[in-house]
Amino acid sequence: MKCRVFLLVIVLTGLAFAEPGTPYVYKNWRQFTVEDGLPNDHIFAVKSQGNHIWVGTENGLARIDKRSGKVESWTEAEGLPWRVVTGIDVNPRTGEVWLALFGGGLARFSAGRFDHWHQMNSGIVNDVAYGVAVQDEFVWVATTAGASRYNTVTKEWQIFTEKNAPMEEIWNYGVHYRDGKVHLAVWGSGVLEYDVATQRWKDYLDPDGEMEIDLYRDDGIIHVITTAANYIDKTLWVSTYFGACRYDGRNWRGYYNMDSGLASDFINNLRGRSEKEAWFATDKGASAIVDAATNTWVTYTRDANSATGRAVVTRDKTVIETVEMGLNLPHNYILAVDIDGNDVFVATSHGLAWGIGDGYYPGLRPESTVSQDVRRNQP
Amino acid sequence: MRRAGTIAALLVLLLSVHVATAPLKPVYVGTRACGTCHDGQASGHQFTRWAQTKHARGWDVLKRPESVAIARLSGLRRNAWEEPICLGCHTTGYNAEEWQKDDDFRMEDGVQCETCHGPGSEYMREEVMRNREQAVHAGLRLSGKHDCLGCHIEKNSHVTVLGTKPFNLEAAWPLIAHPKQAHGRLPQPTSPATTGALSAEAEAVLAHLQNTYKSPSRLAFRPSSSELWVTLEGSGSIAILDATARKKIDEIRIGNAPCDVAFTPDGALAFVSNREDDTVSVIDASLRKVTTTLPTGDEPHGVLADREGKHLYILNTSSDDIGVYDISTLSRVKTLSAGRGPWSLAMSPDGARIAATNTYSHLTGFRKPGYSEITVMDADLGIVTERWRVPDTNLMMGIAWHPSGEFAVATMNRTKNLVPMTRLLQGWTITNGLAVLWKDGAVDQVLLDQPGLGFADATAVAMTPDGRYALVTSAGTNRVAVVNTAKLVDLARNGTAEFRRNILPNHLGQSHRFVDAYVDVGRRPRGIVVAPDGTAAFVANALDDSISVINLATLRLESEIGLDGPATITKVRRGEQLFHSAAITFRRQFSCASCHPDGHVDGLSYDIEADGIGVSPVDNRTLRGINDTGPFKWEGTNPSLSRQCGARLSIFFTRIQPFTPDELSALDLYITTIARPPNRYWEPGVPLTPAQRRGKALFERQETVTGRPIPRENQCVTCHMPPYYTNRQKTDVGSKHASDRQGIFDVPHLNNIYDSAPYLHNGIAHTLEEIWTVHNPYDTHGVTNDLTKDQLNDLIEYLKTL
Repeated sequence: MKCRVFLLVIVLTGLAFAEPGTPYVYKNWRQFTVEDGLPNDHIFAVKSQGNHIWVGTENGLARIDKRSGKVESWTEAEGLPWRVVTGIDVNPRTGEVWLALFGGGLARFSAGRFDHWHQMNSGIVNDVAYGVAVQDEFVWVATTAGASRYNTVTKEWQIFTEKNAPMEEIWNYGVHYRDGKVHLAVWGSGVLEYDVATQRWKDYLDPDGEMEIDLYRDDGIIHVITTAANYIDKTLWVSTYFGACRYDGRNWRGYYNMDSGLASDFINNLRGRSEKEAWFATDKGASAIVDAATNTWVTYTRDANSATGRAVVTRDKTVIETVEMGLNLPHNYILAVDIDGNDVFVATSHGLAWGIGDGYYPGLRPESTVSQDVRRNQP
Repeated sequence: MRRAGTIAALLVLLLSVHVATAPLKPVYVGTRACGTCHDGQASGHQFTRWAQTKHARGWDVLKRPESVAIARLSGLRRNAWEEPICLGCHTTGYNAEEWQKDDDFRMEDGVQCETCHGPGSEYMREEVMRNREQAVHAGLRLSGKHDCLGCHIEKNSHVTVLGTKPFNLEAAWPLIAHPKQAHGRLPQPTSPATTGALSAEAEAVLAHLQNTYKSPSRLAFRPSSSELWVTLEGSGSIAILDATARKKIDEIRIGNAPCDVAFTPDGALAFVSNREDDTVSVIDASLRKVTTTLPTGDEPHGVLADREGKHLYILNTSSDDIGVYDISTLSRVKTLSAGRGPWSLAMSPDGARIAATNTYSHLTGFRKPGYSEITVMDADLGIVTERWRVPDTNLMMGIAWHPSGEFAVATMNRTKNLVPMTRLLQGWTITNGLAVLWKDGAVDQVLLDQPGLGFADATAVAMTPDGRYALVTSAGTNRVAVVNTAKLVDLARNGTAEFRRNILPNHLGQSHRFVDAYVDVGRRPRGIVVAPDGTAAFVANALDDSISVINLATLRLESEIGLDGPATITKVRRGEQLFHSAAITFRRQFSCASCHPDGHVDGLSYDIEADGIGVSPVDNRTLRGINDTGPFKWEGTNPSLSRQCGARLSIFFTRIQPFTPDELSALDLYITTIARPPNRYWEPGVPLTPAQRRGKALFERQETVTGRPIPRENQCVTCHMPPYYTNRQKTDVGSKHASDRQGIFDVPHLNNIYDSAPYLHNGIAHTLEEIWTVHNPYDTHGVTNDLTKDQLNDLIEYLKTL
């Protein structure tokens, strides 16, 4: 009996100190800049859909054919209604591409035709649009003066502001739709959740009410100045200019540069991949939390001097591994991220990075099970 | 403590119940409630005086035979007592929701006190009524003579039927005066209104209603059979013909205004679009029975099942989109964006692509040439993959693919709307022909006109199975052009770029190079189909209720199949024939319907008069339901339709002898019966949405958002007063453009305003929003600059319901 207890203690001790595993690290990157045909290097939005990567820039829209790498672009001269494209979403059913235009409202690109809705010719609340999201036959737009919802079938516009939503401020930075819920990231008003079925709003605010500090950790959203919110696998990911957080429907968890792999607390955008994984667009690189349970992160940065890239794997704040690589990001100031299948797409202030995820696996794997080909032989 | 909590909870519950059940106010209480106090000697017998006026019988008269004729002459479809426009002047609270009516309120009581004084629930109490200021604050409206003019304007529909004398407001006002001080004795009851003899026009309209014309529209062969199905727009049915025996074998009732018919590849199911019902009937083709009715978008036109029989495509003409339906579940899968006014569908021979024509040109900007769109879909993916541009065209309707798959052809008009119509004498105002749509998206255009004879209103096209001929109908000249496709392709492909770009699309002398024959058929040939064996073509003659059969070996008319329409040609039908005939124009270049397809608009602004290029361009206006909205023309210079369509038409448009008096009378009578489609945003009896309700309050408001009074002349309802939403006056709303001669324009009616873009007199506003966001900087077109964006949205949502 004593022997069995001893063995059990040994096993449990071993498990407790065992490495939880290793995350996938993207090492195969492609870059696209004006030299490759993009209309501008300041990339504000990226959306991958099927064989195409849609790229919104400071001066034009681009479409990259994934198979050929060929870049097509549209500026105002080619019919794009407004030069600055800050948000992109694609209706998977119709193939229509919806564009948030910073100063130009909303546009639809369909089979070569641009349609344009702005303050003067439509019911959109404001032309300074930051984000766009397709919810079935509705299109949501996050603008500086509230959110607008356009019914593409009845052509009716609906406006959401402080008058009819719990919107303490009306400066909408981001909008996202998935699984029956629309989430708005609102500057100064946290995250607002719209339940499509019940047509009711729910707000997520910083419970401590402090603007400068997060007084009580993990008590709720970390700051009311939010930049993006993504809902996936019943998990809400939120980015702010003061860190990130995650809500699983029961518990909140905040992430900061000081105690996680987050490259910076200044986060422009995010893309949730699963309940475990989300990518954050920070001003100092792209940071991905790849296993929320163990607080394991991979942060991708570029060396400004050598133009080579690096991925740093951390758990909490401890560096587990540093992977040097050739090209990864064209710039460390990240404005948006998208994920499609195994691949990731990173919009920077100096071009687009496409991380090709051959052999990608979610979460962590024991080091011994990770293919050496995948770990080391990628360029 | 526990007891206190229970009491608190109960209080909250009671409060919530109270809140939940508290009536929304104010509501109409009915004239009898007013009469409780406002009768007898002390009140000057006000209630009794009212009860003896025609106002009290306003609703009753709506069931008289005259009202049937008046409704038809107003472009209305339903019974007069169901039509908001009729109810607006014959009852009280016609557009009120149920919650706005007290239990004792009865619309049947006619035009009641609250028509002029507003719903009374809040001011009816005696203590309120005795304080004028308080009563006004509670909603009492103090009406004046001006308010009478919303209804008491000369209405052509009523004059035609009743011969009513012009309304004299000054003389009428004392008759309804009801001062509170007693006059001592009651007025003498008015004699009961008598029906009397109907006018000739009323009799003509009623006679027309006795004759249900078939008005065939489109045709399709049921796969693997000799059954030819024909939609009968006039009778709301489908005729089934035995194409071999050349005879009609059955007719089945479908819905209102069936337009197009298509089958699943196995011929088991037929689909018929019902334009006026916003539905598609699904028919078991073997049983010839409607099994399901699919709701669609606005005004469905073309229908087509894909080659696998999996998906059904429905073109919603008025909502500019394409519904994609799963045929196995008969449910809508998605909605695709079309061009403007999607009309007809055609599938490429390999089934991979489906192309749709769009009848309206895209809005391109003030006095800029338009272009039409051919919307091309990938049949496997069910998405739009290409949008081909056809420059300088409009009214693209029919489309057919060549069996080689190399190209399709589509009918089109080339309307020279940006220059004065003086070019008519050179035969070049509206030209008609085909667009050749190459599979790579390139487009050629050819005219089917001849130098001395137009090919007005090219409407439908069908291809022979061997691809030798494309057969095109001219609805305005009652002919079918037999286009030799080999010659056409040769002409286009071997031409220089300059020839293809500028000569071929415009030259009236080219058609002889590729048209092998013109075949005369019946009146207004709309649809055409070729028999699967390629021996004959069948043409639907909409205004002859017949099918013409063309022998494709001889290229001659072989026979005609009757559809059992009425033998009598009523005056209205005669007018309809005139309306759709290009015989009214010099060298038969166009018909009334060329600019007013389906009695509506073509979406263009015209530079009509020979007063210089670009001077005073005007937006085309609908003819649907316009009888009582005169004067006509944007400058309001034509007081009647007979003036509008008489000599003026000859001077500015047709350059041919004007109509004879009989013809003009028939044409005008027909125009007055062109019906307005049901409003898509509001159905009588259905509560307004919250946004529409808020918009209604804005439409009727008398104060700005900040409480500043809005001058009467700047309130929406002053000029756009119900029920027509026009006061039929001319006014200056500050819309004068640099190109305009003057700035005073006719106040347009607002009924179904959502479906007649662009807006303002010159069509400069592409959307309703632009009327106020762009073209009303100084609040001269109503006070709107105080509105927030959401309030303007509400206002527009309400306007769409009118």
